[in-house]
Amino acid sequence: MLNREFIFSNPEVLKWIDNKFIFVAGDDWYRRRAQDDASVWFKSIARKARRGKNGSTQQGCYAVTPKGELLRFINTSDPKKFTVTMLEALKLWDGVVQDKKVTIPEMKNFDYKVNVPPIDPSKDVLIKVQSRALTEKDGKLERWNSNGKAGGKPAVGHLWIKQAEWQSIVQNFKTMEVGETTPLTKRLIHRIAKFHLIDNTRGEGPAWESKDLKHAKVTLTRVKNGFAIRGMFLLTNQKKSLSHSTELSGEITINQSTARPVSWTMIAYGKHRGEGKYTRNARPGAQPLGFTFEFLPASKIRPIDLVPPQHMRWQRGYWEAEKH
Amino acid sequence: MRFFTFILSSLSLITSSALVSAKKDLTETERKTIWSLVNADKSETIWKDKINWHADIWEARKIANREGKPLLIWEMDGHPMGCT
Repeated sequence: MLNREFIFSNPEVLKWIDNKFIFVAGDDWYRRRAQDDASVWFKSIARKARRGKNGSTQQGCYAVTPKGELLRFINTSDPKKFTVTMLEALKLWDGVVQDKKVTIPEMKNFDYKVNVPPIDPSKDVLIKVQSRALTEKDGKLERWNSNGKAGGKPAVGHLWIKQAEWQSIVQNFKTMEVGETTPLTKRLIHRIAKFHLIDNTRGEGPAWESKDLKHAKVTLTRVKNGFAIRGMFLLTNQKKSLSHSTELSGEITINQSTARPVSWTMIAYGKHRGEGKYTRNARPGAQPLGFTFEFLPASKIRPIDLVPPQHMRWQRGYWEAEKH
Repeated sequence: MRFFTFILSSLSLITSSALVSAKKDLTETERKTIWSLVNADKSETIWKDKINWHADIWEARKIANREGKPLLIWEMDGHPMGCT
């Protein structure tokens, strides 16, 4: 994550902000393109802050009444400026007499061509993906210290697996003997490689294309309660300006009575080289990059865990990763 | 989960040359180390954990109305809670 999160990590901000607002975070890439009721409503607010003209960016922090009146807007990474602006917004809110409570209608118009239909965590499989730049020092592996620059923090994403895709894994479990090995489906291998084994530690890293997958192999070996997973990836773009060589390993444990995952944990570790249009200032050469994958059971999922995978912006490309 | 149920007391057990080798499987110890190095510490997720963020703006609008509070809407290119 880049620097704006630090506003919400700042101890001075956290002292006053708690419970003062209802907080909601969104991806403006979707918002400014979508025509659903929520996006249209938000765009009307952004216009009041002089944001989003002719489809331009609406990024920033908006203090808004439930009716849709803009109280204050700011786009800053400075906690002091943020605090001053939002405390002004709260004063204005205290002064609101009429329309403090309004009737909020149900959403009628959705836009799933742009916005992503939500996943069902009781049926589908949601895996949290974290990544971090690492470094080798004196023969040991450690976290890379960016000295305050972008790239030193962990990045977060979500891998989505549909119920039917999960069921094919369960079916393998039922029919295979302990010790037997089978490949993971090409669809899931491509989804993991193209959209999750990317360097997003300095922002939105570019997805890999199918032709970039020089080697991509993942196998499932049946063990008593699930599978051991092993995989290798070699990813290189056409210009040879980006490459990623990484090894994947982990395990899946299956609840045999519910046929749901108990756990799905994997790590990927290897070396990544290069940078994307929005991820400048990569370290020179091939550098260690690590990933963790962890299944989130429905009972532990928070609203923010349901944020779609970053590269879901092209939905068919994500769901049918092996075809495109 | 057996690989990942505890954090290593020492990270000095492994050499980087072992970790980057593509010719052999990572050991269980190496996996545990990478797991603990990559995953965020609590101090790094305070902005997600101390604030009750919603991801559905319309639902948040209803909650704000019900609780008599204003909304704070944070919009970024790339979802702040799931992109980077």
